[in-house]
Parts: sequence; C-alpha cells; structure tokens
Amino acid sequence: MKYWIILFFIILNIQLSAQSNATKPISLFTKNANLRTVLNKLQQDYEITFAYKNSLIQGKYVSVNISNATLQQALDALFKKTEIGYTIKEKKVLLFQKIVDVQKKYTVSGIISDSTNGEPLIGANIYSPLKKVGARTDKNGYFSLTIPSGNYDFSISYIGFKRLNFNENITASTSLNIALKRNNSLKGVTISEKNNPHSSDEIKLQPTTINALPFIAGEADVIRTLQLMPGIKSGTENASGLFVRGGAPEENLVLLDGIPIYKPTHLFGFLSIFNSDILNNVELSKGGFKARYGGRLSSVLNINMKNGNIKKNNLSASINPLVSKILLEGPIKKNKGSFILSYRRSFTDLYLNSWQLSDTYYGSDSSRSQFNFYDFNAKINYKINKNNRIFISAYTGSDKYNRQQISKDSTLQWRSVYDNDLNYNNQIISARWQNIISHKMISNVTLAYSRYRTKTFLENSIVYSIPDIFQYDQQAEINDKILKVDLSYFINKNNTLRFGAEATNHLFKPENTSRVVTATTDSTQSSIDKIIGNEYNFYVEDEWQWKKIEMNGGLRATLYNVNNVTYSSFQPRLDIQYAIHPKLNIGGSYAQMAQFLHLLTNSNIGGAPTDLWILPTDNIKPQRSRQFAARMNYNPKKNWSFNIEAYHKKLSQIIAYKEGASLTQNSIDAAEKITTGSGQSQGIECMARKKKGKTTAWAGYTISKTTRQFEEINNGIEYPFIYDSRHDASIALMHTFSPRLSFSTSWVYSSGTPISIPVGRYAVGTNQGNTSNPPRNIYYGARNNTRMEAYHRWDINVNYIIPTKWVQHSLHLNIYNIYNRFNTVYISRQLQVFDNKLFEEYKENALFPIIPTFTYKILLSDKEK
Amino acid sequence: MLLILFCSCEKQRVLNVPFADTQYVINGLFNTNEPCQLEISGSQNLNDTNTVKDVSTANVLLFEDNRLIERLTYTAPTNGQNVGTYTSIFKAFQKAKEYSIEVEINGKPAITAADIIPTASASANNFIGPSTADTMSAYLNFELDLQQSNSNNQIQYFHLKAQQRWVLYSIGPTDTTYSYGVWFNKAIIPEQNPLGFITTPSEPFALSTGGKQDGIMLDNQQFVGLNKRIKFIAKNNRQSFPNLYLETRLIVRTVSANYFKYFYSSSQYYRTKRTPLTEPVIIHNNINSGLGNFSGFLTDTSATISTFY
Repeated sequence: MKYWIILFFIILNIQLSAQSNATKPISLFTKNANLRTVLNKLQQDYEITFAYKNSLIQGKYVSVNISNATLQQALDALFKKTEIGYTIKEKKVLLFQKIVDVQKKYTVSGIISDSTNGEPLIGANIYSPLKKVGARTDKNGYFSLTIPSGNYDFSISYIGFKRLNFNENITASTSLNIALKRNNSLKGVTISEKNNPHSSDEIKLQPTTINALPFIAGEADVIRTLQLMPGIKSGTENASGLFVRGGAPEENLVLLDGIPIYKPTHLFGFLSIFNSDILNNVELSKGGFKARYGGRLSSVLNINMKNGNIKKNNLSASINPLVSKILLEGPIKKNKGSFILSYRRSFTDLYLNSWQLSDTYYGSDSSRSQFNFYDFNAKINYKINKNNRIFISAYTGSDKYNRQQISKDSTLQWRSVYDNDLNYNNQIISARWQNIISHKMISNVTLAYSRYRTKTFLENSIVYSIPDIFQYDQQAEINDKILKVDLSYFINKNNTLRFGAEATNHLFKPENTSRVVTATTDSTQSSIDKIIGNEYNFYVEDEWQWKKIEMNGGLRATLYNVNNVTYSSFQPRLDIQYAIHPKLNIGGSYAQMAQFLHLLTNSNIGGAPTDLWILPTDNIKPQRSRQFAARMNYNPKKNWSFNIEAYHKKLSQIIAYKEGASLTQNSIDAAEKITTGSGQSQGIECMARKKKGKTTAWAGYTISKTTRQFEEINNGIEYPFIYDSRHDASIALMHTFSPRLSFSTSWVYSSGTPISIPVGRYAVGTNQGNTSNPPRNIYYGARNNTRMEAYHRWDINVNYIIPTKWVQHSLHLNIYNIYNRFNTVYISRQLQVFDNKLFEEYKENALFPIIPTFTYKILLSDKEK
Repeated sequence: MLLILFCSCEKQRVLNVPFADTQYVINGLFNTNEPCQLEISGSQNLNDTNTVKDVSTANVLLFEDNRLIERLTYTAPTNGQNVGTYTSIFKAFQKAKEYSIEVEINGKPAITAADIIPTASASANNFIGPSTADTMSAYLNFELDLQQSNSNNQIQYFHLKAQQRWVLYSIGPTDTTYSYGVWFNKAIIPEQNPLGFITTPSEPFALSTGGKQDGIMLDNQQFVGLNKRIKFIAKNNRQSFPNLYLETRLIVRTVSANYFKYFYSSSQYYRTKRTPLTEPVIIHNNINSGLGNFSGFLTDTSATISTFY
C-alpha cells in the first residue's frame, strides 16, 4: 500500500508541475479507445492532471464524442459507463473506484438488429462470460436481462454475424440497441437448430440454409427444407406441406407474422407459399409446445417476414423456368421505418397450354393440364418512438389448376370427358403494435383478418348408348377476425413469464351444387350453409432455468362457442432438460393440444382444395392430442452434434369421411359424411450434424408408425394412416468453395405411401347371381391395403455469385431428381369401355422426371441513405 | 430444352394392381323357419368380366354349438343362374345358438364362419297404405311402426322386405270368389332418402346390391322408445284389369350384426361406386379364409294391406 501512496505522490508531483490554471473547452472523439491513452491525450491537450491507481483503468476502453464541454461534462461522459468516480480540484483530477451497491439489480434491455438492413435478429445471444449471465432475443429481436449492478463484459453473438464484445457498467436500468455486422468471411452455411443446442424438438432455419438448398428449378422452399429434418415426412411430390410425426397437414399451426394460414402451399403442396426472399426467421416445433401456441395438434411453424431494409433501397429479381420473382425494400424514413414488397408468379400456364394427344387401342386420348400461382407479400414498420413500433403485414396468393381429358372411340361411338378446375387463395392482413412498457415488460397487440377460399368444379362424364354425366361445383370460404395481446415479463435472468389472450371470430361458408344426368333423369341439388364460431384463448407460460435444469411450462385454456354449444379445453405443457455433462444432456416433454377446426380430407386426393374445413358443432367435437417425447443430445465437438428422440402421440376425436362418402355428394348436414375416431403415432428420430465450417451437413433417419381407427371405417380395425411412413431418411450437404462459388446436394428416401386399391371382385347376396352380368362387390381387403413404391430423389445445386459495385448477379444450376426416379404423385382411376362393358383402370401419375434448370438473379442496391 | 422438359413432365403408367389370389366366396343365410342355403363362388380380378364362377365341389359341414349336424347337399344352378346352392335338411335353427360351417374345397385349408340368430324379435304394427289407387299412379306410399321387443340399450338390426301379390276377384249373386297370384318380392325405398343422402345405419336405407333393391335396413339407435315410424314407397306397374287389387305385406327380419354390416357396406359400395372421389368401402366379411357372409335372422310377417284399382 505504501508503494501506491509513494507512486501516487510521484505521479501527482510530476503532473502538477505540468499544469497551468487555465481550462479551455474540451472536445474529444474516441471510439472504443484505451482509457489510459484517452487520459494521456487530455493531459497533453488540456493540461489536466489525473491521479489514479493503474489497476483502476487497466483494460478499460471507452467511447466518447464531446465538443466544447467543460471539464466536468467531459469527465461525466468519459466515465459514464464505468465504475470510476472523480473529484476535481482546479485542474487536478483524482480518480477512484466508485462504491456501488452490488445487491441492487437493474435491467438491461434492447433490440439486437442486423447492421446492414436493421432487421431484428431473432434468437441472438447476449452473454457475459465472466458473470455467466445472458439472454436471448425474442421474435421482435428484443431482450431483457435483470442483473446486479456492476461491470459486465458482454458478448453478443448470432449465427452468420461477427461477435461483438464490449464492457458495460450497469448502474441503472439501461437500453442497449445493438447492430451486429454480418460475417462475410468464407465460413459456409451454418446450420442451426434453436439457439439452445440441446433441444431437438424445435428446429430453427435461417434463410441462408433455405437458400443453400434450392428444391426445384432453383426455387428455395422452406417446407421442402424442413422435410429434410427427422420426424418430418419427406416423401411424395404431392406431400401437401408438413407431415410432422405422423400428423396430417391440417394439424400444423402455420403462422405468418403470428397469423394462421389455412393453406400454406402452392401446387397442391409442391411448394410452400412462403417466398424465401422475404423470410427472416423460421421455427418449427414438433413437440414440447409452448403454451403461447395452440389450435393445432402436431406442430407449430412460425415464420416471420423481414421488416424491410431500414437503411437503403434494394431491388432484386430472379427468373427460372418455374417462377419469376421481384422484391423491393427500403426505408420509409431512415432508422425509423421501412417497407418490403415481393411478388412471385409461376410461368407454367404460359407454356402448358397445348393438348397432348395420344392414340389408344380403343381410339384416342387428348389431355391438357394447366396450373399457375402467384403470391404477394407486403410489410411496413414504423418506429413511433423508442418504446413503440407498429407493423402492418399483408399476404395474398392464389392457385389455379385445370385438367381436361377427353377419350373417344370412333368405332364404338363413346366419348368420356374429365374436366377438373381447382382454385384456392389465402389472404391475410394484420396490424401489430409493439410497446416496450418497461425494461422488464414488452407487449404486442395484434389485429388481423384472414380469409381462405376454395372453388372446385368437377365433371366426369361418359356418353355411349346412354348419357352418364356428373358435374359438381363446390365453393367454401373461411374468414377469421383475430384480436390478440401477448405480454412478456422478464422477471430475472433465470425466469421469463409470458401470458396473453386471443379472440377469434370464425365464419365458415360452404356452398355446393351437383348435377347428375342419366338416360331418365337430370337432377340438380344445391346447398348453402353459414356457421359462426367464436374462439377465446388464454395462456400463461414460464421459462425457467436453475443450475443444470431448463424448463418451459405453461397452461393454455380455450373456450369455443358455436351454435350455442361451448367447448372448453385446458392444455398443460411442459418441456424440461437436464445437462448431465457439458456435452451431454437429456430432456423430455409433454403437451396436450386441442384443435377446434377440422379439415375433412378425401383419402384419394389429400391436400387438394377440395379439402373442407369444418367447425365443431354439437355433433363434431374438437380434436385433441397428447404427446410425450424423450431426447438425448451429444455434442462431442464444437461443430458436431448427435440427437436421438423418441415420441408417442395419441389423437382423439379426429374426423374422416365415412366409407362410401364423397365430397361431391350433397348432404343435408356435412356431419352425415363424417365419422369420429382416434389415431396414434410413435417413432424414433436420429440426426447427426456438422454445423459449421466450409462444409456443413446433416443426416437424419426416422422410424415411425402411424395408424388411425374409426368405428365406421375398415370394419373398425386399425389401419395405416395415409401419411404413415415406416422409414424416412435424408442427407443434406453444403460446401462453400469460395465467396463466389458454393455447392449443395440432398437425397431423400421415404417408404411408400399407403393407398387403397381394389384387389378383386366377387358376387354378393344369395341367389342373385342369376344374370349374365351379376352384381359384384369389389374388395380391397382393408383400408390402405397396399403401398406405392418407395420415394427417393437426389438433387444437386451449384451457385455462382458475381458481385459488382452496385449490382450483384448470381447464377444457379439445379438438377432435380438426378437419376430420373419415377416418383408417383397420385393414382388415377379411369373408366373405360371394353366389349361394351365398363371397366376401370388404375394409373400411376408422376410429374417430375430429371429437371435441370438455370436461375438468374440480380440484386440492385442503392447507396445507404 | 427446358420447355420441352416441362411439357413432358406428366408421365403415366398403368398401375400393376396387386390382384389377390382367387378367394372362395360364401353367401349363406339361416333362420328359424327354413333350411340353410349357401352359394359358393370364386372371386375374380377387378376387370374380369366373365360370369361368376360356381364352386360345386365343396364339402360343406354345418355345426350347432360346435356339434356337427349334417353335410349340405349341392344343387346345380337352374336356368338363368350362375351359382348352385348348398342346402341343409335341418331347419330347426334356434335363437341364441351358434351355427357354424366348415367348407373344404379341393383339399385346401377349411374355410369357416359362424353366427347366431338374434334372440329379440321385432314386428310391424299400424301398417297402413293406400286402400285405392289410380291406375295412372305408379307409386304407393306405406307406413308402419317398427317395434322392437325390448331395447336394453343393445343394438338391434332390422331388415324389412315387402312382398306383394295380385288378387282377382269376381262378385257373384251369392258370394265373391278370389284368385290369388303368387307373392313376389317388391323393391321398396324409404321416403327419407333423398338423392345424395349419406345413409347411416340408424336411418332406413334401401338395400342395394348391384341394382337390385331388396328391402329397407336400419338399426335401433334412433328408435323412440320401442318404436320407429317408417315410411316407404313401392313402385308398381299400372294394371288395367277390372276387379283387381293388390295385397302388400311386410317381412320383418331381426338380423344379426354380421348380416346387417355385410348388406350395409355392400349397399354403401353400390350406392357410391360411380361417384367420383368416393372413399373406399371395405365390405364387411365374417368368413375366415374367404369372403362373403354367413349369418342368421328371425322373421315376423305383418298383416296385409289391400289396394284396389
């Protein structure tokens, strides 16, 4: 101690001798500069003498921007974020360690964003390695961390961005709005699965991963990328969307900026409606659902659109044989608000317009298929002040499909016509007000409108000696008006409470008309219906961490009122994990889910617009599920991870068409077509990943079994569900050769899809086989008695980028189905006449052979404003 | 190049339908009043348009509560029939007892089936219909109360068949003489069955097996107490003879679950087989190692109704 005193006086003596009594205004600009250097500069330029202990300033860096300030103002600014206090006597300044109350806690909160465009970074980490405290940003890029006062060495990280390290002395609740810089070094695509690497229940995809694995014709697709993950069925080209752990597509809650989408796919499920250019963040939860989500049984797919570049205008356009796209984004007012617009349209109707003619042994066939789709996204956001921001999002998209086939036999004078028109469209618009109520609490209030409409026309006619004409026209519309409030309360560094409420008004309007013409009749029947249902949801959820245990538990309560009948549901949720070792952890989850909307799907053409959403009534109860899952994760090295997870899911009160029911049949009540039953699914999912580096890859495998059981189907015997797949496997590999050149490839395998195919026919009834054309039943043996051939496919992609000063060109070569596998999309049944008798022929239809495509993309960037 | 590829995108190939091996098909019924009759045929490929193949070489044994009663006798098909009949001499079938068959064909493993006759019976009461009809009217409307003997919340199944006969009468000075025609089965349709109506087991539906409508079936789940009011229509050809009336009677069968499910699912299949996008119907089957139906029923006959023209 005495040495310090001696040293102090020596320094003091030296410094005092160098001073004069005059103090001129101080101007100083430094950025992250060493404090000692700054003090020396002040001493030299302004003749100020500083006295301090070396340890007090050692390793400290400061940023300050002052001009014409007094000495006190300059010192306040300089030491604002440090634990250093000072006293001034004339031009002598004595520095000392501030006495702070270490027990007092303050909240550090703010938004972490991308420095290039201002997009919030969802799931970014803010962490203090020395103090071992940290937090993650939520869907708004917002974080809140309540910690004792003191000096913190914060490190902020996000995949694909440069890590930012800085010191912050916390002496009061503070707002930190931080912009991270992109990491443009050659490190390839980084695969992420949630920020917490321990969980495999939740998958997080970044746009870079999605865009690195274009699916077909250079068109990247979020759902197709998700299908490469274990537990998500990858097979069949018409796999309409997601099939998560044996669940049907309607059991997925698909949210675009928090608003449910009823039909998230184009081309019957071939592509998702989400233009990959506007994606900011994608999260899929397969189990262990959080209480804030509900209304579906099997998964939650949460997709957030970009907000738009808040700093400069960008225009990008791309063209490939399937679609063309254009995207425009930019600031409304720099650092205050931005917009983003994107439009995508398929080209297929322009060149699939001609009739395909073919000769048959009975005459000729002529057929034509046409389809096209478009989607349009728009979003604006505006920061009213530091605590309030509004977002307005809109989406509209539409699909049109037409298939005509005319078969005729000039000799026998018969002619059959098959004409099928299918149209559907989604529209949503939402407005969200984000309010940072305090450092510890943030709220989001959302008002939204969503509409899903379908239109189906079907004609299936044959005219030979007598006419036999069938025409069917169906229109259905479901409108939702939604108001919801979500609040997050960051209690402390280990505990976050979320709660909220949501009210939805559903309006369901189905209409259908059918016409049957025979030799003696020509009858037309119509029905129009209108059902209104009101759904109210409340939830509370707690995210909690204690030593090696992490937990997310909560409860969701729902009330549903329709036709004066009210259903209620209480859904407990729990996800817990325990770190046995830094490299090894185990976990498990339990979730009860309730789904108040049913989708009635024809088992012949699941995923088509003919699927009908049904509101619960007094006869049709809400469907429910319970899912248990257990998992183990092993991370032997930093870049490698291995996961294994087992699950068991039970569903009840699910609906299906009865045997013999047809969507084209009018009915007094749709409920007459429906039977109620149960289902279950169980499986084991495995995944190995290399997550970082020039080469990244993953391999996944799932073994599973999914069944359904209805009293009025298959004689009440359990049968394989249409989306049952015993084995699913996938491999994806991405390699970056240089910043300009990258390569990716993927291979998928899925066991054949179960289908019901008649295997014969036989006489029915006693003493009725007394004509030359006796009555006969056809028989299947059982529902879904056979399977299509296994589905597998190998794709490769090569991407080359040519950057210039203001324009970036990119070329993409994609080869889809490289070994030209005949993958059946659907089975069609066609009536034929042979020997003056009707008979039926079943045909497998495949849509996509080997398809090499080039995509050209151009990105124009404005100067930063 | 790309356009060509896309234009040729859709490929088709005929599905190699996994036809099952030929299976033996048994259609057999038994009740308390008549000998048991069985038809045995072979199943065929989906598009095999040949006539039904009769099986005449089967060894058919009939059992009562696992006690052998007799070997059934084969009678070749008569004119217009494709399938012969195996008939029992035994006809004292009793309620609640299990009757089973064991069928051996060409040394192959035995085909078996078993069923019981329901214990509860039913009757048609308050049977009313038109007492007169215009010769121009093609449709006659009837109604009745179908009464089950007891409910006990147990599912019971019914099959109503209508029979009619023409009666020619002459009025003499002292007496009226009648000449009775032969009873014939008459197809009937329940009134509450509009086109497109999805039949449920609990509402009367027309039994339809290959274009032949033969009666109405339903279960007792929608009965009010012990009764269910049923309305049905019979279509008749106009008769222009004078002094002619039509007698209509109902045969009420209380049938076993196997009987009902077989004909219900068959009807569903025939009703919808030409409708596009129809869910597949799995036809009920209670034949082990085969296809078809072997089932029992009880019979009650209603009073007759006379309709004068």
